[in-house]
Amino acid sequence: MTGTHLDDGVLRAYAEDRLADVDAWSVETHLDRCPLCRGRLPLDETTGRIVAEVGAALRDRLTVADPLPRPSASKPAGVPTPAPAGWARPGSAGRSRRGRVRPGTRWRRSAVLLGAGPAARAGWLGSVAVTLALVAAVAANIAPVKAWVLLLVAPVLPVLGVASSYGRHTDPLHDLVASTPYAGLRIVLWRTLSVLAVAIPMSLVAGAVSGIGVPGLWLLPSLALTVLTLGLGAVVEPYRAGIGVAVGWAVLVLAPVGGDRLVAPVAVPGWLAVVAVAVLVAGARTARDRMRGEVTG
Amino acid sequence: MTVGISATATVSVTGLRVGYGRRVVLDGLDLELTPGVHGLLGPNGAGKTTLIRVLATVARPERGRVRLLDEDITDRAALRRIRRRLGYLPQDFGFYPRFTVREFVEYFAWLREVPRAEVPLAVDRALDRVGLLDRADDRMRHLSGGMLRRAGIAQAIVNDPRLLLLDEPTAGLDPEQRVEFRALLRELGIDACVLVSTHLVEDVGTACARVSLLDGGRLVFTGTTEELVAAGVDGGSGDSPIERGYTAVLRGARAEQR
Repeated sequence: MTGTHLDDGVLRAYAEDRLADVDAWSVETHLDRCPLCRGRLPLDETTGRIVAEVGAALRDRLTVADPLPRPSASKPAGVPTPAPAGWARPGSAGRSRRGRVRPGTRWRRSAVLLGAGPAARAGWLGSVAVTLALVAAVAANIAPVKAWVLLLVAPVLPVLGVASSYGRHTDPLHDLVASTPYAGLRIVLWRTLSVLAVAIPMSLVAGAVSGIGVPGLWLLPSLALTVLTLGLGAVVEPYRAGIGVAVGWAVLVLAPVGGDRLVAPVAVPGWLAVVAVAVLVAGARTARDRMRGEVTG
Repeated sequence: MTVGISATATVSVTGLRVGYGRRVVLDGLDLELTPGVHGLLGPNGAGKTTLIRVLATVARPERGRVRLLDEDITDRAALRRIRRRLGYLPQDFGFYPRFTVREFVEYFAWLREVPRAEVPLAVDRALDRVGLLDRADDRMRHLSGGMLRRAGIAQAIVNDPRLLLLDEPTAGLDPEQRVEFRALLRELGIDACVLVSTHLVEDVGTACARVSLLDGGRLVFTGTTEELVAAGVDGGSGDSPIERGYTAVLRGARAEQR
């Protein structure tokens, strides 16, 4: 017992009938006059299940009785919503509910997690626009834009997207996200997926237009550099990892040995090796540092 | 009445030390919290935010043991279970400006792994509890400071947390909203452990059953609100009994350290 209320252990013991009679009586005396503790009394398994079932049945009934307003494209403009007088008004849920309530499905979850590409979204959409402009310029044969510029830009697109998608410097909600079960690698992978969904087609288009190497092989450096950024992102801040990888890529492309070999069949084992190393780096880091649960500190 | 079973604490911290570089922010801190509303007081820079970030599993302890909801945070699987039952509102939190209020709260319902079928209802319930249901479809960037704070509280309670950590939640709320907020706190404190950091002593006096006082990275007081008031009966300065208790305890702790 703590202060004037029963503590959890006592309540649990009482609910499970583990208390001596004398103790149980005094618990009951307290429960009689204390609604707070009554509310905290844990339910036994059967009762809990019944309550849950009744709740589920009622919920379905309520949805039928109170059909949600369909999404309306045109919200009545200029009609100010009256501000609530207080904020926890019981029972106001059904009445003032409006707008779009989406059912909780697996699809909806994916849509939310993918679509919430945070501040990063502006960043990678920008780089997609740049690539498109370059592709157009190369396709139209505008003199100052050479095909190798595409090779320089397209494969690092997802890298920049991934680098700017996680970490306290680029995500305004970083602290909050870091306190959820999705923190760390899981949310990073979701965001990477959303970036790749856009960047991979870009890479293919750029490869086809540029005429350098095999277009399909442009995917390899894109993916390998992304995985490398993820791996390094487990060690340093993701945005630093991204900058490092981008610079490294630029050096390779501009090196005198010929950037076109980077997207030729001869480079395939090299890229696979890069992926393997990146996975090892991330794995070693995770093993050493299991507590952290996030990719950055 | 004494029943020989003691409650297990929701939060149990022993020997916690946190520092950034050479600066030590928390040192040798022990803390136990049970269900109910707990106030966390202390001057600016006392380490309140750091302590809350450690309990939110965002900041990393340098030394010491942290157990939350009966599990150790160094165990990865346990950490995930803890985070499902954790609600957290940082002092400054950003938002994605294009999100509507409902999408913002929904995002965190998914991130906190609320069961799929329950998400829509949980989101609207949380919005209703903070009085934002009729603004649910407004974009975040159109909200006032007080409404943003309430949206922040809604995302923190969307998963019915067993441990709710609120860092300066009353900042930006007007007096009427603060009163409403305290009522909500008392309601949440019935079955959850709620830790509220604030520098507004009056928030603690009315909403919190227990208070802990941090100063210079150390815990200098922990007890009931009445005990803090009692500490200020002879000495201490301030306009209210609890303020006098607060200043008296701080002075006492500082004199002791010299």
